[in-house]
Amino acid sequence: MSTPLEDQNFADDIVQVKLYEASLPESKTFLPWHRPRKQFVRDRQWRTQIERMLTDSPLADGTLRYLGLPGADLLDLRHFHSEICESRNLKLRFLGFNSNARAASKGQTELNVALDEVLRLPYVDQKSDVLGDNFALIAQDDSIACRKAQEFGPYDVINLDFCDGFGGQVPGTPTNNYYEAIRKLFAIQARSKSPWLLLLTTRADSPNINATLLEALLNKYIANLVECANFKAASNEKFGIGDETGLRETIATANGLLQIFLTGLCKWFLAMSLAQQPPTTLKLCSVIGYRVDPKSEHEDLISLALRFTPTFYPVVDPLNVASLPVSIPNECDLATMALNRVASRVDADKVLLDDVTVNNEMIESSASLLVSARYDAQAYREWLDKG
Amino acid sequence: MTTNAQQFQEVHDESELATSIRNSHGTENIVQTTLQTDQRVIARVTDGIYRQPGSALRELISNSYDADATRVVIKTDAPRFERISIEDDGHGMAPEVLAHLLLHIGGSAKRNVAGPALGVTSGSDPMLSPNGRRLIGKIGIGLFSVSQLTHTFQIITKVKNDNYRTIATVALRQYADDNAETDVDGEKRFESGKVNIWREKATDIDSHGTTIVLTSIRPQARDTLRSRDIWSAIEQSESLANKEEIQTIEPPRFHIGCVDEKGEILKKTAGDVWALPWEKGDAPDVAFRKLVDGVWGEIERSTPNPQLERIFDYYLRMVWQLSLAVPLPYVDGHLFDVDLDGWSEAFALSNQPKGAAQTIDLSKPGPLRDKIGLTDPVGIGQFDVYFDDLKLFRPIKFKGLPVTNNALKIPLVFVGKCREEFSKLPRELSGGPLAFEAYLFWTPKVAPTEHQGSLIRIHGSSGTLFDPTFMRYQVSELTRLRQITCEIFVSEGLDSALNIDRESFNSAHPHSVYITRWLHGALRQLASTQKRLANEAREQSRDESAGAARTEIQKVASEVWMQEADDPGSNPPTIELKNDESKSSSIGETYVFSRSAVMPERKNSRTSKSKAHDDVLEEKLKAIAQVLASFGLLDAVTKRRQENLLKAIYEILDAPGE
Repeated sequence: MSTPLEDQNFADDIVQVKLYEASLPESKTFLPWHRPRKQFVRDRQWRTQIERMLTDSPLADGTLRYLGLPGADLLDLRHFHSEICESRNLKLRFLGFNSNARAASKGQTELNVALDEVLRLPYVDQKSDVLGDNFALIAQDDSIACRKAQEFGPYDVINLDFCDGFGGQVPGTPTNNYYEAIRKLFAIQARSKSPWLLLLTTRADSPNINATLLEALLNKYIANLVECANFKAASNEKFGIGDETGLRETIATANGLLQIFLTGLCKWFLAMSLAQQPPTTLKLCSVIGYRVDPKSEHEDLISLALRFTPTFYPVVDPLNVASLPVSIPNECDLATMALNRVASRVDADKVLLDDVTVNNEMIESSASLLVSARYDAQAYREWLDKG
Repeated sequence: MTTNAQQFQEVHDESELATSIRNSHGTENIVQTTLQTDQRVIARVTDGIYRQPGSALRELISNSYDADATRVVIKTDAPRFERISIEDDGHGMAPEVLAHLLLHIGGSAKRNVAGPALGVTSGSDPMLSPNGRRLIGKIGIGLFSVSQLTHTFQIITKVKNDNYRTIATVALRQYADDNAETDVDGEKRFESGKVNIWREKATDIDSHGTTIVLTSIRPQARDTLRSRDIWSAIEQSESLANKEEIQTIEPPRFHIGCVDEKGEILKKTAGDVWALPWEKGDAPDVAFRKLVDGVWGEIERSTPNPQLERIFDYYLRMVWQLSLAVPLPYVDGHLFDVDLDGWSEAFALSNQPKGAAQTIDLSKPGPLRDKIGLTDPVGIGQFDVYFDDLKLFRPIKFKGLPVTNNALKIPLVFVGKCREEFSKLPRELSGGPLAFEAYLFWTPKVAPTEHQGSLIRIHGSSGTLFDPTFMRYQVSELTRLRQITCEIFVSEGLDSALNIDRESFNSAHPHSVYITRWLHGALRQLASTQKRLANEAREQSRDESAGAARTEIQKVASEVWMQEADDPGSNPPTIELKNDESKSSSIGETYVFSRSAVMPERKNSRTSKSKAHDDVLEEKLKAIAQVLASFGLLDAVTKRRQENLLKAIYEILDAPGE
C-alpha cells in the first residue's frame, strides 16, 4: 500500500537501501524437488512429450518458445537446453515467473548467478527473461506480466509447476487467480498455428482442491455421463462410475477424488479449447504422480501433459449460405480419451522402487543437472542416502 | 538440508585478496573486503558524480567495450526499473583483476603498467584493449558509476578456461565523506563500500564475460527513468476539478508507459499503455530503425523542428543519447562510407586559419573515405549493443532527409583530417600529438534539434553529445548553425582534457583550444561556401519565379527572416491554418496549426468588406508567426502553446482600437 498523500513528506523515499550490507549467497540446500522422482517427471514426461511434439510438428522458425515457473536454480531450462535444444539445434526463448527476481527478494543473488549461466548457454535466446511478478497477474490485461506474456507468446510449451496447487483457490476471486491466468494464456495461445503443450503440475489431494471448483468439475462430469455414451462406458469400466450417485460415492475415496479431479480438469481445458474459433483439440498425453506427503494413500502431486492442436474447422454458418456439412471435433470422444489416460496414470515412486535401472538413471541425471547448477554431486548422494 | 555453515574471511591487501578469492570454492567460503580510497574526492565518486542515471549505463557499456566484448545485452525492466542487468561476452575478470578493481577505485590498471600484467590491456600497448581496441576508460571509476542508479549490485564474472565463476555483491556506502578513518601510518582512508566475494564451480569452461546486476534502483533514479515528472504532472492536471481552467498536459508522442505504485500494472494513457514507434516483437534492429524514422516522421506531422525533449519520455531520450555516446555503427552507414555522387556536394576543409574549402570531385564512384584517405572508425570490430527491445545504432541519418523550401536542395558535406604534433611545445605542456578526422554536414533541416551542433568522439566514444554552441562559436549565425551536424573523431590526444565524468572538457587544455580553433575555422569555410552556393541557387530560382507578387506584409517577414538566417538560399517557413477535418498538404518547412484553435469562428455573417479585413488579419498573423520563427521563438514552446500564442496575437490584432 502506498502512503496516503497527506502523510507524505519530502524526506520520504529518498534513500532506498537503509541497510549498509552486501548480500550473501544462500547456502546450497537440497530440497524435495531435487529427488530423482522429479527428474523422472522432468525427463520421462516433460522432455519426452516435448520431443514427441517436435517430431510430429517440427518448429517453423527453429525457436522453442517456453513459458514456465522455474525454480531459482533453473533446472528445467538447463535440462531442456541440453536434452532437446542442443541435439535438435533449436533456440530456446523462455519467459519465466519467479518471485526471486524481485529486487527485495533474498533469493535474488542465486537467481542472478543461475540466469547468468543459463543466458550464456549456446542455444538460449538472449531475449529470454525471468520476471518477479506473480504469475496470476497474467490475468490482468494491463499488467506487465500479461504484456510480457503476450509479447513472448504464443508458446510451444507452457510449464506450470504450481508448488501451492492449482485447484486450491476459490473460483471468482478477483486477484491472484490462476484460473483467470490460464484463461488468458489460452487467449494468447489461440494465435498459435502449431500444436503446443501444457505441462501442469498440481497438488491433487483433498485439502488442496477447492470445493466450489470441484463442484463445477463434477457438474461437467455428470453432464458427460448423461450426454456421451462412450464417456459413460469408459467411466464405468475404469472408475466404476455410471451416474451421479456413483460419482458422489467415489469422490469420497482418496483415489476416486484424484481421478475425478484430474478428469474434470482436463474437461475444463477441453471446454475452453473447443470454444475457441476455430477450435483447438486436446489430448492428455501423460499423467505421472508421486507422494509429497509420505502418509498419503495415493499420489498427491500430479503432473499432466496436455497437447493442444489448433484446427481449421470452419464455423457452422447461422444463415446456411455456406451449407456444406462441418464435422467439428467431438468433445465426447476427446473427453473419453482423457479419462482413459487418467486411468492409466503412472506412479513415479513405484516405478523407481521397482526398477533399479531407471532409479539409478534418474539419480545420475539428477546429479549431473544439479552439478550444472553448482550443487555438489557427492553431497547430493549423501543426502539421498539419508532418505 | 544445508551443506556447511558459511565461513568469512576479511582481507584488505590486494594480492592476499586475489589469492583468497581464488581459494574460495563455493558459497561457504566468503571473502569480505571494503572499498577504500585514500582520497576524499574519489570516495565521493561512489555517491554519484553524474548528472543522469543514463550516464551509468554509458559507463558500463564502455567497460564492456574495453573488455573486448562483441555483444552487450541490457535489460532494464522498463517501465518498472526494479532490476537492471548488463551482460557482456568480454574477457571477464580474473580474481586478480577484480581485487585490483575493488581496491583501486580511481586507479584503473588500464593505461598503466599494471594493465598488461593483469591482462586487461594489450601486452604491447597499455592504451589498447587485449584485442587492440583503443580504450575508452582510464581512471577506473566506470563500474562505480552505478552508484547513480543503485547502492547495491552484484558482479558475476568468468574468464575463459576457468572452471569457476567469481561472484561479488557490493553495498556502496552513501555520503561517505564523514567516514574517514585513520590507519596505522596516520593516513586517512575513506571506506566507500562493503564487498562479499566467492567463487562457484562452472561447467561452461569456455564461456567468458561479465554480468552486472543492479539490484535495487534508487528511488530518485527510478523516478527519472520512469519520467515521473511528466506522469505526475499529467495526473495532477487530470485530477483538477475545473478542467476548463487548466492547460491539459499531453503525454509525449512516444513513451514506454507508466506503472502503478506497486510496479505491476501499466496505466492506460490515451488509448494504450504505451506509445512506441515499433511493434513489440519487431527484430531489435528493425525496432531501432522505426524509432529513428519516428523522429524524422514528426517533420511530416507538421512539427518542423522536432525536439527529443518534447516527443520522447526520459527512457527513449536516454536510449537515443546512449546510441550517440557509445562506439556503434550508424543506422544507415558511416558518412565516410557513402557514395555522395548525385545527392550531395563535398568539400575538403583546410587546416589553415585563413584557408578555404576545396571542392571534392565526386564524379568517380566510391566512398568519401577513399577519395581523401579517411580512416574512422579504427579498430572497433564487432560491437552489438542490445537494449531491451532495441539494437542500438548511431541514430544519425544523412540520406533521404525531408525536402524543404530552401533554394539549396542538396546537403553539403565538409570533411577534414588533421594531425598536430605541437612540435614547438614541450610534451608536458601540449599533452602530446592530437589527431582527428571530422565532418560538418550542412542540410536545410537537421532533426532532431538535439543533433544541431558538434559532437566530439574520442576513440569512438562521446559523453558530451552535441554541443549546440559549436564550442562557443561567437558569430551570430544561429540559423546556419541549426543546419549543421558535426562529428569530430579524435584518434589521438584530447582525452586528458576530459573531465572526470567524461561529460565535459577542460576548455583551457591545449587540445581543446586547438580543436575549438579548427572547428571555428571549419565553420567559416562552410559559411562562405554555403552562402556562395545559396546565392547561385537563389538567382536561378528568382529567374524561375519572376513576377510572383509579394505583399508588403510578406516582404517584412521575408526580410526579417533573411536578416536572421543569413542564408540567401532559405525562405521563411510556411504557416498553414488547417481546417480540422482537412489533411495538410504541407511538406518540410511548414508549421501547421488548427484554424479553429488560432482564429475563433465569427458569430455574425461577414460582408465582403469584412471578409477582406479578415484576409489581411490572417496574412498579418502568419507574417508575425514567421517573424517569431525567424528568431527561434516559436520553437521555444510546445505546439499547443504556439496555438495559444497566435490566438492571443490574433485577438489583439482584431480588437477594436478604442
